[in-house]
Amino acid sequence: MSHPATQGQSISASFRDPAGSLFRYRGRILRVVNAIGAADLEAFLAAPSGQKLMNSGSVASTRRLDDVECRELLADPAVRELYEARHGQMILEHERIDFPSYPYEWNPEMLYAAGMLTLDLAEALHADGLGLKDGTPYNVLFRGPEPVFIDVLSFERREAGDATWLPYAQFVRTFLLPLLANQVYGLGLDQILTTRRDGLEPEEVYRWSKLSQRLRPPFFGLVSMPTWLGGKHKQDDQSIYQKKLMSDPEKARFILDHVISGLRRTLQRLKPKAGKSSVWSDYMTTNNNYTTDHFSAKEKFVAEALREFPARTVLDVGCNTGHFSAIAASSGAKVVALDYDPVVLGDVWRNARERKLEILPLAVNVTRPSPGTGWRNEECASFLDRASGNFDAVLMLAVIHHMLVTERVPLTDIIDLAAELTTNLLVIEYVAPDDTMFRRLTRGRDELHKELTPQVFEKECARHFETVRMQFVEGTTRRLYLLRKRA
Amino acid sequence: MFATEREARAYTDPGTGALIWQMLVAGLVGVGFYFRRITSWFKGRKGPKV
Repeated sequence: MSHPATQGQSISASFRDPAGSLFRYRGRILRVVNAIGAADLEAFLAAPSGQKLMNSGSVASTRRLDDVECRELLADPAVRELYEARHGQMILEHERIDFPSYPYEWNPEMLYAAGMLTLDLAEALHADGLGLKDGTPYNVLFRGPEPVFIDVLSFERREAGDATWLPYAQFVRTFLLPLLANQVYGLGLDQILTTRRDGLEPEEVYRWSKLSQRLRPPFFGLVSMPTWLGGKHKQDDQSIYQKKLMSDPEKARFILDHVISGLRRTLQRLKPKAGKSSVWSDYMTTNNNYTTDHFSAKEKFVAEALREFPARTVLDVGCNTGHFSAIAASSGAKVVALDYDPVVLGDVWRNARERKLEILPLAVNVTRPSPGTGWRNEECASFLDRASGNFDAVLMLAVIHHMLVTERVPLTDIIDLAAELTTNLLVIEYVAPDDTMFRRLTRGRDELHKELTPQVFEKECARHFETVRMQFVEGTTRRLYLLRKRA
Repeated sequence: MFATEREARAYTDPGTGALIWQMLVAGLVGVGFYFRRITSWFKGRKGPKV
C-alpha cells in the first residue's frame, strides 16, 4: 500500500479514501485521519461491536496516538507534509500483519473467507447503527490462514432509514463474480484480479455466459439483471444515485438485513469445495518419487534443521500439500507457503486453519512472482519486494528441477534468489538430471542439463552459503543440503 | 449537512445495473415486510384469547 519512508523524503501513502491515508513509517503501520473520517472512526471505537471485533482479532488492533507521540512523528518534515496535505486530525497506529498479501495471490478459499468476514462485519455493525462503506478484498489481509479486516476507515455511521447497501455492487464485482468465474470457467484469481483492481463487471461475465446460464441463479441476479438493467438506464440520469431514506427505520433495517443475508447465501453457494484434484494434488500420496523410509528421513532432516537453527519466519517455495510448511509451523515459525497450484493451496489453507498453524498459503510462482500493481506499480508491492530478506529460513524441497527445466532459470540465478530471500538458513534439495521426476520434465531434452552435477551445484551454493550438512535421499539422485548464509 | 458529508465519503463505485437491481429487490422485500407485520399483528390479536 505504501513505501518505507526515511527522514527528509516525501512519504508514499494510500490516496483513494477521502477520509485518510495509510503509510508505512520505519516499520510501523500508521494512518492519518482527517475530519471526514474522524467522527465515523470515533463512533466505531466507541461502539460495543467495534470493541468486540477488535478484541476477537477480526479487525486489526488499532490505537490512536496521543499528543506526545503525534508531536514526535510530526517533527519529521515528511510526516508533517503528509499530515498537512491530508488535513490530518489524528494519527492511528495499526497492528502490523507479518506478510501482506493481495487477492490475486490468494486461493479461492481465502477470497471466500475474506468475503464472509466482510459480511459478518457489516451485519455486526448494523446492530450499532454503523456499517461498511466499501466491500473489497483489499480491506482484508491474512494473519497466518485467518482473515483480518484492516481498513478501519471503512466503518461509517448509517442513517436509520437508509435501506441501500452502497458497497453491494463492489462486493459482487470483487468477491462473488471472481469466485463464480473461478468455479464455472476455471479462471485463476491471479488471471482475474492482477489487472482488475475493482473486480469483474457483470457485463464482462455476461459476454462469457451461455444463454442457458443467464436465466439461472446465481447468474440471473449477479450477471444478467445488472447487465440488462444497466443497459436500459439512461447514462445521464443521476437520480438512482441520490440517497433515499425510508420513513420507517424498522423496514429499512429489514431490507438491509435481507440484502446482506442474500449476499451471504450466494457466497455460500460459491464456496470452493474440498477434495478437488489437480496435476499436483495427489503428489504426496502417489505421484512423488519417494519411498516411505526416505520420506521420513526428509521429514527428520527438515525438523532437525529448524530445531538446531530456530527460525521465526520460513518461506516454503513449492510447498505442494504443505507437509513441510506444517513441520516448520510446528517448530514455532510463521510460514509463507508458495505454490502455483491453487487447488493444493486450498488444502494447505484448510489444514492450517483446522490445526491452527501459522501458515499463509499464497498462489505465487516464484519464477514469475506477482509484480508491483496499481498506480505507478506502487500501491501493492511486488512479491519479491515484500519477501526479500524477510525470512530466517527458506525451504526449496523437490523444486529446483521445476525451475531449471520448466522455467529454464539458470542454477546460478536460483541460488542468488534463495540468498536474497533468506537471512540465514536454506534447506535445499538437489535433484540430479537422471532422477525420474527430473526426466519427466525434460521430455527428451536431457542434453540441456548434462552439465548439472552435485559438484556444480555445491560450487554455486558455496558463493553465498556454507554447508552445515548433506544427506542422500532416495538413492543417489537426490541430496538434501542444510546451508547457512555466509556473513 | 449530514447527507452532503456522506456523499463525499462514499467513494466506492455503486455500479448502475447492480444498484437498480438491489432497489428492485428492496421493493419486493419491503412488501414482504408489511406482509410479515400484518401476519404478526393477527398472531398478536389471537395470542391473548388463547
